[in-house]
This record gives sequence, structure tokens and C-alpha cells, in this order.
Amino acid sequence: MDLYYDPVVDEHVSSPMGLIAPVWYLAPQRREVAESAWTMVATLTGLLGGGELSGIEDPTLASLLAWHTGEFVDGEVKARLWEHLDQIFEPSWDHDLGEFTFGFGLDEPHPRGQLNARAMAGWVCTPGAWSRIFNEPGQGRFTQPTVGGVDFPRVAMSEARWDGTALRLAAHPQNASVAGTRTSIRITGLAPDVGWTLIRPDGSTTPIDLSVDPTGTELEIVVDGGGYELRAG
Amino acid sequence: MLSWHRFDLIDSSYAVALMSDRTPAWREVYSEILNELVARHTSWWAAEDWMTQFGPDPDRADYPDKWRALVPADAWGNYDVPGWTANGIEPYGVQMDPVAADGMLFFKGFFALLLGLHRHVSGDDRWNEPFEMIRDGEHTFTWTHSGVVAHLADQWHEHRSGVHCENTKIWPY
Repeated sequence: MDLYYDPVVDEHVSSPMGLIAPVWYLAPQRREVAESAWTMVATLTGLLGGGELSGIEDPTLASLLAWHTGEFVDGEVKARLWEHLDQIFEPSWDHDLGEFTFGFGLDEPHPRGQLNARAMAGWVCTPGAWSRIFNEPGQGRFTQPTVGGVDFPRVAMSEARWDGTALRLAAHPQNASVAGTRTSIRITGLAPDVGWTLIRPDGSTTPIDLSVDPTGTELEIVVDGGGYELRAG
Repeated sequence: MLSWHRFDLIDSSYAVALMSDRTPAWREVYSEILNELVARHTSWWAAEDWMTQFGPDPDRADYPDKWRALVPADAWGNYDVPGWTANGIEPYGVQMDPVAADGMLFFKGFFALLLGLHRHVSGDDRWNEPFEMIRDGEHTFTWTHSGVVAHLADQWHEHRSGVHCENTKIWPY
């Protein structure tokens, strides 16, 4: 496989990296080619087949594999790879900031952005999720109920999705000092001609008066991961 | 060749877009992060390699041995390693706009992807209004999201073997 071709001197420079490096970009377009290349690397490194992991002590290759693996597999294989990363690449939690990074053994004052970004893309990616961005873009979310005004980074939404009949919400705290506090969020895009009810994690309900304010209807929720529903009727 | 400043931007965008799709009804923070990544990609620093690497690499006779696999064997010592963009060499000559340039595919291609991810997450077409890139005096270039992508499509149609990333190098991306 060409790593690159020079048409001026008509030279082909070959390397397996010519197949491996584009996997992320091929996946939404030629999934079978991308998955074959990923499978080759996963097999050679022992990630597939149950052998001992090898050849992924290098942060660049390890983060590349972590990145690509998220698009193709979940469960035991992904967990095994991440156990390897956690063992050798200096995982670090800043519990005040709520930030996780790998040091990758680079002895640098700040975590390396590119390597961490790649690994985190693989961590958050579930099989096929990257391809769906391009092939099932889901434009409907722009006309459905939407959450705004979240006090980020103090608060992040761990769930915020419209399931067709209800807006499902859960708030995640940045750190222990925020956990269990109350926070305000604003909801836009609620149909005005139906009544809305907020269902709390404990099952209690409250009717919601829609605001005429264009910035939306304000809700107060507890930042503890508990699931809320905003339901019509 | 993928370690320039702009690759921190583009590589960071993937997790952001994926996280946004996990909470499709909460996109405001992800939209803003992607907007800032795009804004930084319009700066001179995003194209530092193209704006500073003119002609053949003056160090190409002194490359470390571990780079041999990256260079045609017969040309070792007289050939630019991947990552040296070689603005100005044949066949194209000096072209200061990294988007309009015949080469520099890996600048405009990844930039188009970043713009697309911003649009996917935010639904906001603000980058389809004319914006300035590089912003270095006479080296200030005006583009739009659609303009970048249309130019890229034209280049692919005109060069069936592919568009150069670094000048004279066509990659399978």
C-alpha cells in the first residue's frame, strides 16, 4: 500500500501506515476497507485473538489504535485496550476541574493535546457512531426541544435527548462540591399548544408553564445524575 | 507531518462532535468549542508550515536514519521528507494561499472536515459568510465553508490521481 505517491518523480513509497492512518476517514465511506485495516492492526498487536498485547508501548501507535477501535468494537476488546492504556500511559484525574488526561510518559508540563484528543475520540465513540455523523446526520434535533443556559463547566448534561414523546435530562457535576446542588437550565423548542409536565427522578411531577421569553423556559434540576423527563400532557 | 499546530485543532474536534451526538438536545458547549477550533484554524499559525517552508528542505542531507522509510531509497539525501511542504517548488511555484494552492490538500481537507463538524453540531452556517484567513498583510485570503469545499471538489475533478498534500506527495487520504 502506498504511503504516498510522488507524480513528479513517479515514485511510490510503501508502508502499512498508508492503510492504517486513513482508517478513521475511510470508515464512513468504505467501512469494509477501514475495518479490514483496523482488524489487521488489532490482530498484529494481540488486541484481537486473545494474545498478549505487544507493540503498543509507543504512545503514537497506542493512541491511534485507541482512537480507531472505538468505531469498530466495544465490550471486552475495548476494555482490554483501555486497561493497557491505564497501566502504562499515566492516567490522571484532576478532580477539581473534572478533567482526565494521559501523560503518555512524555514528562511534559501539559498533557499532549493531539494524543489525548485521539484517545478520547476512541473512548467516546461507540461502534458506528463516527460513521453515523456523515451517513445519518439527524438534522431533526435542530427543530426538537433543546437545552441551553447550562452552567458549564460547573455542570454538564450527561443525558439530553428527545425520544419522540419526552425530553430526557440528567445533569453531571464537575466535582464533589457541585454534586447535589441545584442548577437552572433553559428549554427551547417546546410545542406551545400542549401542556408540559416535569417528572423528577423520584417520580414527583410538576406542570410547567411555558415562557414567552425567546431564551426559553427555565427549569431547576439537581446535579446528581438523576433522570428527569419533560413530557407533553 | 501530522504534528503541526492545526492537528491539535482537527484531532480535538472528533471527540467533541461524538460527545455532542451523545446529548443531541444539548449542543451549546460543543458548538462553541468547535466554533473556536475553526476560528483558530483560520490563523497564520494553522498554516505555519506552508508559510515558512519554501523550496527544498535545507536539512534534507542530514535527516536521521530512522526517516529512511519515508523517502524513496534512490533519492535519500536529495529529497524532502513528508512534513516539508516545499511551497514554491515545481510544478506549482510559490502560492501563498494554502486553500487556493494546487497542493496543501491536508490543510484544506481537514479544514473542510472541521467546518463540517461545526455545522453538524451547531446547525449554524456562520462560516458560510466570507471570512479572512492567514491575515498577514497582503497574505490575507477570503473564503467561505462552501467555497473551500467547492474548490476542493474542483481540484479532485481536475486531478484524478489525487491532490498533493506536501508539494509532490499524494497520500491515500
